[in-house]
Amino acid sequence: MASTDVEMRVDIDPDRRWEDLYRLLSRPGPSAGPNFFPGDETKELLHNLIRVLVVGAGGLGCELLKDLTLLGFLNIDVIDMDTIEVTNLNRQFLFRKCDVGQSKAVVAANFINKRVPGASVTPHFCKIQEKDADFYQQFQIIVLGLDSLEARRWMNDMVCSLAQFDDDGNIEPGTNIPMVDGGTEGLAGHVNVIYPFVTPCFECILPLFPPQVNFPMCTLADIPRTPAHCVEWAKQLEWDRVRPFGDDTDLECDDPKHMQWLYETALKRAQQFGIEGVTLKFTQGVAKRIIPAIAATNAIVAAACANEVLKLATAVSRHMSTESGGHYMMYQGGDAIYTNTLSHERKDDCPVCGRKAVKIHVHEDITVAQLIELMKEDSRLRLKNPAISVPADTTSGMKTIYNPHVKSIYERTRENLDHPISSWIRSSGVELTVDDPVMATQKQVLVMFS
Amino acid sequence: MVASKANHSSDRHVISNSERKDRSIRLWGERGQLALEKGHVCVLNATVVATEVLKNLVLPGVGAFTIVDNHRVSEIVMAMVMVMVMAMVMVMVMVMVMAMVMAMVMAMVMVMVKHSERDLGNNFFVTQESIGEPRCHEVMKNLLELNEEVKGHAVNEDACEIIMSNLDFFNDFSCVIVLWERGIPLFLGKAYGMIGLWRNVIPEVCIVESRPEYAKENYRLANPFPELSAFVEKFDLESCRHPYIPLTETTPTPFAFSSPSPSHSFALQALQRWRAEHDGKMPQTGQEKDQFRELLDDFQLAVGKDEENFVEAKALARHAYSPFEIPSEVKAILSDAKAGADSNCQDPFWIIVRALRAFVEGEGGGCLPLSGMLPDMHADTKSYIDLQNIYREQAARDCSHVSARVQQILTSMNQRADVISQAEISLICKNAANIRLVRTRSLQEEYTSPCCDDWGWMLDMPEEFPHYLYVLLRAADRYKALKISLNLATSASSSGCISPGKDPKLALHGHALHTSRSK
Repeated sequence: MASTDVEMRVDIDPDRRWEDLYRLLSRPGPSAGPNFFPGDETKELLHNLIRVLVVGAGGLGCELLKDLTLLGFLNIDVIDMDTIEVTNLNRQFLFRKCDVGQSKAVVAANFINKRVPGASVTPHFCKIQEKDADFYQQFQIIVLGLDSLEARRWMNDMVCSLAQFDDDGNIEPGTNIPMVDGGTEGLAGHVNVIYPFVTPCFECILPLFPPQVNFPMCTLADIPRTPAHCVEWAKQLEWDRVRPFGDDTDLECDDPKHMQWLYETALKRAQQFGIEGVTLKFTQGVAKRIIPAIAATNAIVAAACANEVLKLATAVSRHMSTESGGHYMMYQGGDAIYTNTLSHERKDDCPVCGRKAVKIHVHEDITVAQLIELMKEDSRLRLKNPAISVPADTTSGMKTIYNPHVKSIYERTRENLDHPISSWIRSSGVELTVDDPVMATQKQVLVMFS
Repeated sequence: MVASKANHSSDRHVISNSERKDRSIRLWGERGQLALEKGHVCVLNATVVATEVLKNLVLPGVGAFTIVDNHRVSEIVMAMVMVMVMAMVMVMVMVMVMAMVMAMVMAMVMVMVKHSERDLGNNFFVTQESIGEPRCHEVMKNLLELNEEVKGHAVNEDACEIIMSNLDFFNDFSCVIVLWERGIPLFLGKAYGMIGLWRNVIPEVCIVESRPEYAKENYRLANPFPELSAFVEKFDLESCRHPYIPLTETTPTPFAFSSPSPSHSFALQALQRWRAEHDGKMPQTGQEKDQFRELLDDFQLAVGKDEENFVEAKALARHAYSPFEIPSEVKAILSDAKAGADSNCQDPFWIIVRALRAFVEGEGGGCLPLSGMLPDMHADTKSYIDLQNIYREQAARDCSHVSARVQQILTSMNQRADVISQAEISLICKNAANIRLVRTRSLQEEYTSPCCDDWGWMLDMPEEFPHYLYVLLRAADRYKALKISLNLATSASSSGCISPGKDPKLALHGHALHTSRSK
């Protein structure tokens, strides 16, 4: 390192700011991958050629945008449907009080573009589902900073669906876009590098994120014991019975009036049963399923994600993968610090990267409603609200059995719920086509009668 | 000491602006937040590492921070950053602070140093317009934007000069020793390319609310207190009659468990019966434990249903036959010299721990005070609430025993009875099974430890010994120390520097720092 004192006021050379980065990118090193080409090409790649998509402009998203632009990724798109709330300000450092109510993606992009010279961050203030394959195809790397399982599953399916295969079943190079998925919860987090069809996709490791266990209805209805039981009773049962804001008004947990009603209703019930501990804050936590979140964990996880993006883009060092000893880093910061990077297996019957229909065994007599219930409970599928259709007998088209997503079709098909599935499926081994909100593309389910 | 100068907080500090803090408070609680707001953190050198640390502390609302940094000197000390934390008290926030501070090692990717243009490529909290300005002011200004409640101080001076008589940190541990002796935690971080090091230097931090993910709880099933036994006896397992559900015409047989009884009642009664049949002994061998669980199966058969509370009772069986062991971390605290009867440590934490120990050896009969918490279990509301109250009342009795012990200790030390509040005692009693103590080695111990004298051989086998990184980082320190001393020697501005004749390669053998302490 040079030790002579340089007077810096005189000439400001904006590229001097990359000196540290270039130190890393200009020289070969023992941990560099075989595809690492130290020198100007790599710099050019980083600054001008690579386009990164950051999904989510929340706690992780803010950190990611900062880290990635400081790492020299100057062309970034960021997508987020949310607007800024006061409760974001304890960690989402690109936002100020005066930004509350504005688009996260827009405010974050503006801030970064102003702070980091040369950065070109393009915001998209919309749902991920509003963008199509053509949009996602533009990016060389996609980073996920999401807080919902559903959005992760949808992105995973979308990105996996972009991969193309030649006649021998080999991936066309460059069509499987690598994804870096970060997640945090309180003092814990994870980083998962997904190379579609090479490493396990998010759907393959879904069992790591078990579905939320709900309280039994009889506990809520008859024998509540904890303050949470009282809140869930107010939310799940009493709201629908009373409809306090009119028959057409559904519960909206972000509406303070609704929350106040939930709180008062839960409190009354708690008092009636001698249960302590219902407060407004507690009610909010239970009803909105709030997960604690702090800046530091986001910073750690996002930094690890950003470094993986740098490695994926430049091969300056080996990225997390099965070969390097693990594609999934878990971080536990609750009791001292524990981290471990491990590998999972790809699942043969993965509905997303298994590339074949998921087989389910059912009894011939079950109704459409029961089949749908099975698809929701099946640990491989874990669908949320599937629409199902079968190949039509006569034409090459499809016949809809049930579709809850389009109102007119729902009206027409909801009576089918009580009919036996055998009205549409005459024999074992018919492939159903399934559309579900957690998936970006249609899935095939092979129904076998047992 | 800079860190103590602006200790602005008062005891009447209240949490305001709670919506902004909601997501943090849900993690570390109101007391954790208060502790953070009373904290004052001092960073020496506003490197990226330090700035990231501060960002992660300012956002949730640390009380105040002080940045000591002047450009000329940061060129010398370079990638080294020291963070001192003055977050009082014994709450878990210390753990948090450490975790947060940890953010930096990873949050930072490059070695930071010399010129502001390079700051621009690394440090998000300097702007293009600020090139050439004092770094401490720029960083402070941009950090304070994040949270208007936080107070910031910038000291545009040489960090080393402020705290030490001797300029060269690596030659003199006086600063570190001063902090150590005053009990102020010190954190050291550095980052080079893709690797980094974080070191906590903590003389002692006592954590009361450690908030473990899986709390270890003692239900005293193996040695029930009278009120618990009395409660359990109300449940007649022979007839499976529920005491609160009167027999009516609509409940045709006494076996009708229309309402579930708490699993505690089954587990305890099964245990009592087992002991009655086995000369008062607990199930001990694997076979006996199996027999005990079979007994629970018999009860379940009598009920004739796959009752969820039997499943829970079987899960509780382990608690029933193995007396609760005090967690090893707590045992270590109770047997610490500061918890000894002859200790005269005046710290409230340790006085309460002494009382806790006396309780365990006396009234507690080997048990810690109960927390008063009862997890949810399958049961009807009244049984559950009654059982919960029984545990709460016993917890209150335990706590009053501990309070009495505290008063005795205070009297014996000629201290006023009100120097320790009831709230402090209750908090420790409630968390007795989860109190934690963090003590690390001092830096002096680390750097003078003879064990690293011959670590050079590890470098030949990096796969087996990941410690090689440690050796390399120590070597880098030594290399820098050598360079610094060379520079200083040529500018004739320092005394006590390292002899410039030494080969920097020697640094690879690890004892860079203490060999340079040539005083």
